[in-house]
Amino acid sequence: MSKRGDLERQTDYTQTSRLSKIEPLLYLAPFMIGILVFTLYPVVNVVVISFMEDYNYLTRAFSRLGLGNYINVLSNKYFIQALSNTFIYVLLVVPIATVIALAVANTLNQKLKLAGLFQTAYFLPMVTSVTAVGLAWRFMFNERLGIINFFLSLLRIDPVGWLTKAEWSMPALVIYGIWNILPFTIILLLAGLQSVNPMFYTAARVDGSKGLRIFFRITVPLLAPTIMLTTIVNTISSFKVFNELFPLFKGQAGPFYNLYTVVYFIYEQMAGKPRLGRAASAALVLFAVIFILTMLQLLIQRRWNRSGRM
Amino acid sequence: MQVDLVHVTKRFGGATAVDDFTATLADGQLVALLGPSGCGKSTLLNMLAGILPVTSGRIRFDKDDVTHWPPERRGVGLVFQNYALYPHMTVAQNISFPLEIKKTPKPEREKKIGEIAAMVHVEELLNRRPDELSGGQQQRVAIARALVKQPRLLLLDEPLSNLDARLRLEMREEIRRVQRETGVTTVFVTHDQEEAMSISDQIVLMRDGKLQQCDPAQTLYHNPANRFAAEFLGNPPINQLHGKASSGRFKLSCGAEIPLPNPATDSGRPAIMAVRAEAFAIDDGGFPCKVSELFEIGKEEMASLKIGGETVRAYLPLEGGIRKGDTVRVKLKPRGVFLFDEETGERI
Ligand SMILES: Nc1ncnc2c1ncn2[C@@H]1O[C@H](COP(=O)(O)OP(=O)(O)OP(=O)(O)O)[C@@H](O)[C@H]1O
Ligand SMILES: [Mg+2]
Repeated sequence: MSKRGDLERQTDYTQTSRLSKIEPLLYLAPFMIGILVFTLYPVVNVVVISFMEDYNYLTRAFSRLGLGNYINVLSNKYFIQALSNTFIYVLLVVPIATVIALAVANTLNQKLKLAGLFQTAYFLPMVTSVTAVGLAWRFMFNERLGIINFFLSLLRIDPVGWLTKAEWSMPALVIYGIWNILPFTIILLLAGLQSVNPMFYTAARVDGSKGLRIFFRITVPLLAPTIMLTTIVNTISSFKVFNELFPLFKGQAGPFYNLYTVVYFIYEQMAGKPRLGRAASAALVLFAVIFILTMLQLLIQRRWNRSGRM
Repeated sequence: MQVDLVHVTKRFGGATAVDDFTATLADGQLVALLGPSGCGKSTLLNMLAGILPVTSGRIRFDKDDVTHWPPERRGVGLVFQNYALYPHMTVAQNISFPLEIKKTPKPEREKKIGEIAAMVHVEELLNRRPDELSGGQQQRVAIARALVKQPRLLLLDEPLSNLDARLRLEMREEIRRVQRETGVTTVFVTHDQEEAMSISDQIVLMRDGKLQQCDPAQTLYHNPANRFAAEFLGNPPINQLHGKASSGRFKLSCGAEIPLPNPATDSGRPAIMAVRAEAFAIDDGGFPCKVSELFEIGKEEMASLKIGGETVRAYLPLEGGIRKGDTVRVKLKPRGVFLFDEETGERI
């Protein structure tokens, strides 16, 4: 705090000419114009359009301003289904991915001999295209020829219709979703682990503990800020689940249109006769959900930090 | 608990950090492990804690051969140089951690935390986090955490080096007091000879991974085993004069001669005469030397004396009325004069 104060005081003393005040703005201008045109303007537009009933984007005509689109969307059974699917997806993908990533990152951090192999393995999804990998997963999920069912058959489990049965399509999507966010999560957690001073592990061993107890009592708490960060980022990105559907289900929302997600719903409003108002209000509902959840997570984190204090 | 180190050696790749180290640390003593930076003190301490495996040799705690015991089994308390308090736990939780692992029941745990916190004077701080403590407070908490499980051996790795000069003196006394109260065998690592002299029952002097001498502070000071021991202890540093001792006189390389207090010693080979500053005395029958510099320190005066071409530092009594530029006659007292072989550094 005091450091920042010192800096401010310093800038107060520096004499700034008018030109040098404008100069930074000039440097910022291209970037700011880009943001204004391509981000801020569309966002404001979406908010405005979400309140325009029967909006026609060609004529820019609308019947009246009101909550009609929101009422329409929130009472739409497909939207409710999309919302519930999305929640289930997020609630499965994020915690499972976090736990797996934690285990992998911890193993990597202990400098196993397999580190080289692991490194390739966890960088792979980062350098491959989502769609190409998605297609690969489609082959792996294949009921008769896929490698997943092959391994299951070794355990004497009958073939599973991952991509063809309604009840197995969500698990397939979740597995693919987890695989997608794992590399990012592992890398961040690994970075977090590497910034933990190893002397704490030594201290814990001298204090008499080992193995899993050190992991849960020392490693995880010291990593909590990083875990929180990956959880928030992963939650936000998982709420936007959409791209993942295409390679797995050939552009459909699941084998029987049973896997509507919120973003897929928004996308579908634009297909055929575009219903821009409805799409905009659905997008804002999603935004509200993500916003509230993120705030909640930050709140929990703060509580968590303080509770350590007894 | 008595600790025996038997031919303990530690190599990192080709480098030998601790070399054939054999010593016995007596039960209930505070032992200072003293030596210059990089001489292997931390390495030795970590081997005692079980953090580092030994390359060869044995470590015994009383009758137990603990050479291959992991740290969690050895029951030692360790205070790290930078304390290593768990940042996500309060002071109380930090102290409680070793007890939880021993599955001490909660009421007993709380009683022990209270007792130990009172002993190191941190009762008021139990609900604070480590980052809300001063260096001295952190150190007390670290000691409390190390002591609470009633270790067989307490190890401290330069625990005072992060503190300012005054706090260092204070904490030195505290450690001494707590060690006396608990009676736990303690190894205290330091590279500060004064710290080692003031705190310890016994000093283990190390250099380049090798044991130099293991004796009480006074013995080490008044009877150093080799030139390094004489050099390392004492302030100001001991005076060293190169030459040869023969027939009761020490002939300096510059030609001057000094009568030896113990005339029997004869070096034959090139030798070093080491003289403590307090071993000089004004004496009319002594040899002459010129006072080239004078500094007043308390009730004595520190003088730079020229003996032939060499300069030595000596304490002289103030009432002598000596002034800069005077020529005085001094002799050497028998206590504080040592002869060492120039080549091997061994005592003659
Ligand atoms: N992990 C290691 N790998 C290789 N060499 C090491 C390792 N740890 C210590 N050494 C070497 O062993 C020697 C002794 O190191 P040590 O840390 O025991 O010194 P120290 O006496 O504690 O010094 P200081 O007073 O500076 O802490 C040094 O030369 C050091 O470079
Ligand atoms: Mg050290």
